[in-house]
Amino acid sequence: MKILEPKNLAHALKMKAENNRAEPIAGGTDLLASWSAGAEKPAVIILLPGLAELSGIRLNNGYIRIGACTTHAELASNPIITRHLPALAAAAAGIGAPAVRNMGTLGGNLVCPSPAADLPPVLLAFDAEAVAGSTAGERVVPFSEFFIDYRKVDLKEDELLLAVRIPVPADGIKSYFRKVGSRKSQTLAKVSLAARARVEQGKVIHSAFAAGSVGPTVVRLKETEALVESKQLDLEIIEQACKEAEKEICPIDDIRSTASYRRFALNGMVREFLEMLLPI
Amino acid sequence: MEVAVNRRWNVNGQEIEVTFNSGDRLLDVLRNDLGLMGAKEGCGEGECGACSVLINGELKLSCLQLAAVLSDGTAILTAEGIENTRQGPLLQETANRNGAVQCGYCTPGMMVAMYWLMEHPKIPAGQGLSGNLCRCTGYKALIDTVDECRRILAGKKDGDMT
Ligand SMILES: Cc1cc2nc3c(=O)[nH]c(=O)nc-3n(C[C@H](O)[C@H](O)[C@H](O)COP(=O)(O)OP(=O)(O)OC[C@H]3O[C@@H](n4cnc5c(N)ncnc54)[C@H](O)[C@@H]3O)c2cc1C
Ligand code: FES
Ligand code: FES
Repeated sequence: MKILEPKNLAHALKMKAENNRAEPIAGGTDLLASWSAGAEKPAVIILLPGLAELSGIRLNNGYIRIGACTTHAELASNPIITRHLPALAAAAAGIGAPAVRNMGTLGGNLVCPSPAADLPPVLLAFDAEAVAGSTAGERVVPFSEFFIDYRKVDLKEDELLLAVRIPVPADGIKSYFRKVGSRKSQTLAKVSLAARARVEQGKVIHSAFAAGSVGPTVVRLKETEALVESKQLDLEIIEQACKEAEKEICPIDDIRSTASYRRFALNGMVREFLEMLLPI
Repeated sequence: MEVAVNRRWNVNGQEIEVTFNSGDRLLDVLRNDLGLMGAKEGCGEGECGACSVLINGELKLSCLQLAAVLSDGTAILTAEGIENTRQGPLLQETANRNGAVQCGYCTPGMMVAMYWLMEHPKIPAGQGLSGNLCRCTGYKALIDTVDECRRILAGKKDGDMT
C-alpha cells in the first residue's frame, strides 16, 4: 500500500486528480474494520488527518460550515453545534463509544454511508449541503441529491468531501434525534429519526422528518410532512402522521431487526416528536 | 505491496524511532515492533476496547488506527506507561483495592480508558467505559475505581471510607 501524505488541501486534490483510485483515509474506523474483516486494502491511500482546510466549525453568512475531518466527539461538544443544531450533537454523541467518537469523522460517516449511519438523517432533515472539492473548484450538492442509493453518493472520482454546510435554523425551531438500537453504546440503529418543525399559533410550519435504517439509504418522509403542514396540531393529526410515516417507508428484515418492528418504532418516534410540540 | 514507513514518536515518555509496513495497524507496531504487549487484540474491529491507547491524550483504538497516519512527534500512552505517569500509581492502587482486576484480559485497555476518564471528569464513568468490554467484574468495581480516583483528585474525602 502506497501512502500519499499531502501538505495541504490543494496538494491532496492534485493527488486525487492524478490517482482517481487512491482511497482517502480520515479516522480510518470504517476502513480498518473492513480490512480486518477481509476486504482488500487499496493500492494507494491519501492521508487526510492534519489538513487544516478540512477541520473546524464556523458560523458564516447564515450557514454553519463543518470541515469533513471533524470528529464525532467534536460535533457532540462544539458550542456552535450544541446551540444551533442540538439534534446533530445528540446524534454524534450516540455514535459507537468514546474511542470511536474520538476517531470517526463526519466525512467518513457520509461518503460511504451504511443505511444505519446516524448523521445522514440529521443533515437531510436540516436541508444541509455537501461541499465537494476537486482541482476544478468547489461543488455544492444538497444531501437530498447526495445520498443516491445503498452506499452510493454523488461524489466524483476526482473529488474529496471538504465540508458540510447547514443553514442556521431560525429561532424557535424544535428539533429531534433518536436512534433505537439494542443498547446505548456500540450499537447501530435498528431505526433512527431526525426531525424539525416550528409551531405558529398551534399550526405546524415547515416540518422535516428523515429516517435512517428503513431503506437502502436515508429517506425524507415527504407524505408525513405534507400531511401535517399548516395543520392545527392535535392528537388526531398526530395519530394520522404516525400511520402515514409507517406507510411511506419500505424497511426490510435483516440481522439487526425486522420490518414490522422498524415501522412500530418509527411510529413511536414520530409521535414522541409531535407530542413534544403540543402546548403544555 | 507494502512499503516501509519510518516514524519518530514519543511512546510512554520515550522518544523512539520505528520502521513498519504501510498497512500496519498501531496495534501491530506496538506488539510486534516495540514489544509492548499491553494492548490486546480482542475483536480487531473496534467493539471491545482491549486495544485502547491514548494518542496525543485522546482515547483511541489501536486496532483501528493505521500507524502511518501518526506523524512524527505523536505521543502514545499504553498500559505499560501508566505507572510512570503522575496519576498512574493512584489509579493502579485504587483498581487493586476495588477488585477491578480479575482475569485481566480487559485490564490494559481498561486502565488506559480509566486513566483518560481521570483527565475528563465530566464524562460519567459508566458511559466513558461503554466501549470496553469486561466479562468478569460486572463493571461496578471499574466504575467505583474511576469515581474514587476522581474524588481523591478533586481533594474531597471519600465518604464511603470513613
Ligand atoms: C465499533 C464501531 C462502532 C460504530 N458505531 C457507529 C454508530 O453508532 N453510528 C454510526 O453512524 N456509525 C458508526 N460506526 C461507523 C463509522 O466508523 C463512523 O461513524 C465514522 O464516521 C467513519 O469515519 P472515519 O473517518 O473513521 O472513516 P474512514 O474509515 O477514514 O473512511 C470511510 C470511507 O469514507 C471515505 N472518506 C472519508 N473521509 C472522506 C473525505 N473527506 N472525502 C472523501 N472520502 C472520504 C474513505 O475513503 C472511506 O471510503 C462505527 C464504527 C465502529 C468501528
Ligand atoms: S481489538 Fe480493538 S476494539 Fe477490540
Ligand atoms: S477482568 Fe476479565 S474481562 Fe475484565
